[in-house]
Amino acid sequence: MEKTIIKGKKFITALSNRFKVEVIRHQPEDQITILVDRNDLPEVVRTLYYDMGGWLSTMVANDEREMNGNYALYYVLSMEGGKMHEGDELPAEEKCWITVKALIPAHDPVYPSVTVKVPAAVWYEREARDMMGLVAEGLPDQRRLAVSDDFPEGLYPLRKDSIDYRERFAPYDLDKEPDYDFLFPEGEGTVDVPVGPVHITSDEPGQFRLFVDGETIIDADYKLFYVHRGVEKLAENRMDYDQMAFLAERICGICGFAHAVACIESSENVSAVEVPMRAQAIRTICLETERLHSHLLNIGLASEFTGNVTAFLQLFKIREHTMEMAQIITGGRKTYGMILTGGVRRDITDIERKEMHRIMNKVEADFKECLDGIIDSPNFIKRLTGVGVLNKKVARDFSPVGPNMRGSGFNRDTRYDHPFDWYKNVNFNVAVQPSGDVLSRVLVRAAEFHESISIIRQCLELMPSGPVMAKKAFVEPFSHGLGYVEAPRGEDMHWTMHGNAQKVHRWRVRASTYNNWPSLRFQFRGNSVADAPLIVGSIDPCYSCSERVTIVDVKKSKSKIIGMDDLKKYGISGKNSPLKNA
Amino acid sequence: MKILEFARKEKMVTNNFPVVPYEVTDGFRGKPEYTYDLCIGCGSCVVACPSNALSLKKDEEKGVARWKVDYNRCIFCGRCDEVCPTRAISMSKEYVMCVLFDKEDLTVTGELKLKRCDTCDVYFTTERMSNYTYQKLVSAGWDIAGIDEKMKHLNTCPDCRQEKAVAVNVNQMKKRGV
Repeated sequence: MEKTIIKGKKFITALSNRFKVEVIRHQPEDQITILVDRNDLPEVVRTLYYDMGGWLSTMVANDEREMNGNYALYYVLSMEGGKMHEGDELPAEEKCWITVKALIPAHDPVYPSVTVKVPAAVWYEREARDMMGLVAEGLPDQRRLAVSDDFPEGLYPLRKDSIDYRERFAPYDLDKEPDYDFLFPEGEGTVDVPVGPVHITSDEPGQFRLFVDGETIIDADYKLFYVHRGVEKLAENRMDYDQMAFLAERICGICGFAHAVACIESSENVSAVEVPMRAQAIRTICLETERLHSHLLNIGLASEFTGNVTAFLQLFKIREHTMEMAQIITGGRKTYGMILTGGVRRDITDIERKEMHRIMNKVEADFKECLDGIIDSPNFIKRLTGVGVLNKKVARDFSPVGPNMRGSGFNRDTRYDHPFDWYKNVNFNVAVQPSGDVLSRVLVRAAEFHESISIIRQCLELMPSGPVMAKKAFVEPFSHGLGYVEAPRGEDMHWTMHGNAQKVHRWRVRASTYNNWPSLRFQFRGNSVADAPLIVGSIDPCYSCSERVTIVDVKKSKSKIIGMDDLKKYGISGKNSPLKNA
Repeated sequence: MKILEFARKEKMVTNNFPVVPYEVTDGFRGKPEYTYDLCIGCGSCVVACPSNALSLKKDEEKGVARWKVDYNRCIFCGRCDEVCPTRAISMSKEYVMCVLFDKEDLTVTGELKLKRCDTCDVYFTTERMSNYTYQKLVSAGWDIAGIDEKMKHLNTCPDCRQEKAVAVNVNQMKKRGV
């Protein structure tokens, strides 16, 4: 027994030489929670992040006043190595999650900002201010993030005593509604291109401001969270674990199952539930099926943005078969509804297995042929090469996830770094492309498509027989744990703290795109306006229907509204710029 | 233009949808169908439903329990099907759910007769639930001897049963002189 490596011990020992560190929780074995003083917080996170090869996975603000009279912050770091160059990676047995916890006294809800040292924390700290009223001293960006501009001051929705639902605040009059304070670049001759409020290829309505000089984007700013639905609060108030899975599945329309798995595993990881092997394999199959259709959607849309509508429709034809696969094994084309605490709700029969193999063979051959056709077009390659480059240095600072990250030469993949479910038992390669542009992201997705098919085949052939559902176990009150899944867009992190009635006390959802937004600004810079939809599309937020774009020329104080169709047309042809007459 | 060659390979794949229905596979989770004759009004489905699409409310005036499914809220998860003890609600293959003008058309209601408690005369369960319990007990090998006395127990509401049990215990304790 002495030989077993205690995961993360190395990091904790190194930290304790410099700071006062207390390990307060070590369960399950790869999740360690340490308590530090709030004044040490920035330096501890920085040391873990840059010196020891951590990546910021999520940050949780929690109201623990009924437990210990304080608020608490949890910075969750994925320890996997810097990955900036070959060999800069931790060995598999040392990879773990380290959660840095700091208590913030209720009478003085202030803490030193981590963003100054680790830029990746910027959105999290802005959100903590909006939702919990915890103020990060020294945070460069003090604007609101998650709540709307007319939300009342001093009302923090996620505090446990925040809202009495009978007393709703009166909304602002429409004309008195405050405006969001966009970051305007300085200098003459920049044109401000607002895109939104609803649209540009994001699943949530988002308002983008592109600051252009001529045709070149010099900077960008965006306001999102127009459709913040408050699922976290909803679950805390009235749901038990069995119901939460279905709510989690509806967080995203495309990668919903990944959220459901992450949500349920965050509670399974801290209780004594042992998920049967067969259930784990079925979860893996469903996750990969979801990846198939999501990647086909994204590659299809990349073709559509470059004007290749034929390819888009052909890929959607293939996608239909992957939806059929989901229907066969889960009973639903999109929302699978398969998962409950302890396993899955439905087994895969032999007939279904054969049917899966049949469809997969067809899908694989079709996709290969179709992709050959797409890549064959020099127009497509030309449009995608060198566009929206995610610089390695920026990537290291902002912890993006998913194909966005792997397209920049980092082999970050939760399935590989922190294998969960059945991924320990299958062989697959992490698809990595070095150049960081939109093309490499498309190629990463194409390679992952084939890997997914191979994973599903391995699971179908190798999965053991046995039960698919285990008995539920008691969840210890106020224990907390992480659930992590590699969704098609990147890593989904769910953090739950359990309450004392076998219900959830605090549920923190971090969807993969959340980590990709802050660095998007840098991906915009230096590209043409026509490429903007393509770049947003390439990080793969879900797509909503078209909206309008307003062009404002700062110098002439003139504004012009152009339709999304015009911008799209311009994006496709590159002729007749709608900006010309602005 | 390899892509066109690929496109040409397969004939039309779309079908004339509302006229030719889309065939779903076995085990498809469609609209949950309610069979009134089987429902006993136990409320398991109402507890399990994650989206509050199901409700079961007591109507004291009419003496009925009103079970209701609201398909506007339904998320087709099939939890109700899973927990129903009598298969009164089960998933169908139907997925087209359009109504004209009236959203109430997307609801289904079932009224189940309530039963009064023998002791306090308050509604406490449905008649069918009571019968179901009786049948289950009989099929599990319940001794029919002294059935009248036993049925009295079955027809008492949980509150009265609790009071009775406490009274019995107190009496016993008094006898023992505690």
